[in-house]
Amino acid sequence: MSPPVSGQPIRPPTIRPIAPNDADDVIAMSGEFGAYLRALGDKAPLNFDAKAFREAGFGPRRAFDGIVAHVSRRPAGYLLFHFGYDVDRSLRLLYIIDLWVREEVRRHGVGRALMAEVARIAREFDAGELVWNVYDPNRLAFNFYESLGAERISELTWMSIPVVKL
Amino acid sequence: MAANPEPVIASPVIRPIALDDAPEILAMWREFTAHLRELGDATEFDFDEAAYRENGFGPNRVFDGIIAHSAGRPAGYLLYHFSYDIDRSMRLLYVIELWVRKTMRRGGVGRALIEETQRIAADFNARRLVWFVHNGNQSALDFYASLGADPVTDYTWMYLLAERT
Repeated sequence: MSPPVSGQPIRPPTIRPIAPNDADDVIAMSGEFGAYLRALGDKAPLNFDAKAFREAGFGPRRAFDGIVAHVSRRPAGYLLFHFGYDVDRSLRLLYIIDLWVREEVRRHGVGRALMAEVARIAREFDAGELVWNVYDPNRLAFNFYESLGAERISELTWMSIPVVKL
Repeated sequence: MAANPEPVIASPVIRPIALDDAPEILAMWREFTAHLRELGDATEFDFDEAAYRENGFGPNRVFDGIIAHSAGRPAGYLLYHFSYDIDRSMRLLYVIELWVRKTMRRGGVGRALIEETQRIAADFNARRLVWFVHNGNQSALDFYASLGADPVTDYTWMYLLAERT
């Protein structure tokens, strides 16, 4: 993370919904995020690309929506999400599936602005909670989210199985 | 569990949930949450027919589901929605809830619900099913382990109230 540039004014980020034309920008930033996770030990293939962005974000069966932040007209960060539901509490949820702020524009409120905008989107959809997961070695992410008041969920085990014939 | 007596339960019939299933789903949901309460789940359980209809069938629906019947009687249900894993460029299917009535256990109802969900996931080009289990729910952990499911251990889930942000 670059040091804070004290006293240097930076324009507030502009946040808007992602568009198919953002594919190259989002994929460039997603590549930075992937490199960062890889350095922390993440073994995921990190193979998201422009085609997957367009197909899963804008195709007929879209799997996510998102917002992108610009600072001084340059892409500064993005957040991808979809909605979900907690039956036991009758509670609509907003799942954040990716959030990244470029390292050179950290500490200027870009992440906070992305979270504030997605919380607004959640409220508009009548979703009561934002939920997401953090790769355990990603201490910066925990620090950021906890600075917003987020809490860890410890009473549930997350499980997974491949889609194959049983 | 008793070894051996052959299940006398007819093989389950699985179909998509319908609006009219509300009373049956709610009756089974109450059994599920009573079970979770016994295991120490302190959630303030709150789901009703209006929430079922609005969130499962309204204009901004957030879940879909399937229901199992055995010999004409409701035996279990599974609710889900889709998701996406950016790091793996992969569609996912989230199982929100799966319950098989205690009186209908050991007749293959749970496995049939999971198999049908696998088929739905494959149709959507999703490559994994994912879900949460309350840590105290040993019978669920055992059931899922018997299917070959693994706990995902390298990630921590977090949440934030939308109103606070």
